[in-house]
Amino acid sequence: MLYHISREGQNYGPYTLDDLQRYVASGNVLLTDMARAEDGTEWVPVSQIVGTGTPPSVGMAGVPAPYPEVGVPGAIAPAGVYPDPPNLHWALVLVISIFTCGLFGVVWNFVQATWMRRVNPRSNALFFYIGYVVVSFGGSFLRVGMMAASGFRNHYTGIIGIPVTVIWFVLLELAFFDMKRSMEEHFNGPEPVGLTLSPVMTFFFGPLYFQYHMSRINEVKRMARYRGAAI
Amino acid sequence: MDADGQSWKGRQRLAHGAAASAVILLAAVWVWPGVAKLLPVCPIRVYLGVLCPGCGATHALLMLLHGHLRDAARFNALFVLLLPVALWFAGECYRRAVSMRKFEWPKIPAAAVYSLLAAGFVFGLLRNVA
Repeated sequence: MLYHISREGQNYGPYTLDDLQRYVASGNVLLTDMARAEDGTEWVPVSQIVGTGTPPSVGMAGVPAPYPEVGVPGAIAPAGVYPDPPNLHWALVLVISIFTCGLFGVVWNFVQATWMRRVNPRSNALFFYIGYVVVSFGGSFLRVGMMAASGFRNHYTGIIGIPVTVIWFVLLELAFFDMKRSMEEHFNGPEPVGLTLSPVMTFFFGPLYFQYHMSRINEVKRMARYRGAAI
Repeated sequence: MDADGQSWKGRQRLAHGAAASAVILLAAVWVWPGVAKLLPVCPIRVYLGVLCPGCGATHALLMLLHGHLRDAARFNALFVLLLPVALWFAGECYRRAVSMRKFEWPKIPAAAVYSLLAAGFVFGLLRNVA
């Protein structure tokens, strides 16, 4: 059976019972919201349909959920409100990164990972990025130090350079794939937009690929808000 | 104060900090040009042996800070051309971060962004071929 949800005069749905339970568990639908079966006429509180102790359930993704605003009367917590993803065109991120010797790219990785951790606290990408920065910049300083110690006569620093490069590369890829997992988890769960990310694109283009999807998701959210059925 | 207000205050502090850091860094480069040597080496140049579109940007900035426009263009002409746009973008980001309760990045038309990217690739290609 499908259900329509009403809040503050706005109607949402229809949703299956599984979706409804999931949205209640994530805080996107409140137990105090009103619900009506698709073939019925009577509006009843959501709590009468899903009960009061709804466990999180895994339902189908891709159905927009109501996106309560802060301060909606009866909202249990602003947990259902998620900050929008960083919104900068991926090509602009690339261009600025090129002209800042990659430094902007590193900063942007942190912007993305910090946002990810705010919306999905189980994301560990931020820690992998911190490890990557420590190892790569530490390795660079160590290499310059070794070169300086030899009076800049010995430029071969492969003994240090190769293991350091391998370590930061692994940390970087771990961060990329953790971001992928966290984004897919979030955008097929609390904010279901049916996101699927390619592992190949993640491996080679990581943050630029994520940025492409973040901008796309921002556009979807903006349009949904504009229509009054925000996700 | 609500969550938006707190995030706004934090963002304002971040924007002021970033602007102050940029000014200090530019002043340091102007006073002591050797600071440029501490910046990381371009990995594309190190590992692939070619000049990327951004190679020479630091030296170009250094030359501009000392008023040598021609030398700056010799190091990286595209960087010199795009610098006014970059300064506008940075200034606009700062203004928005400080004045807007809900931050939004400046909108640049997609066509302009792709043109910029294409110009970068063409410039990168030409400077290695020519």
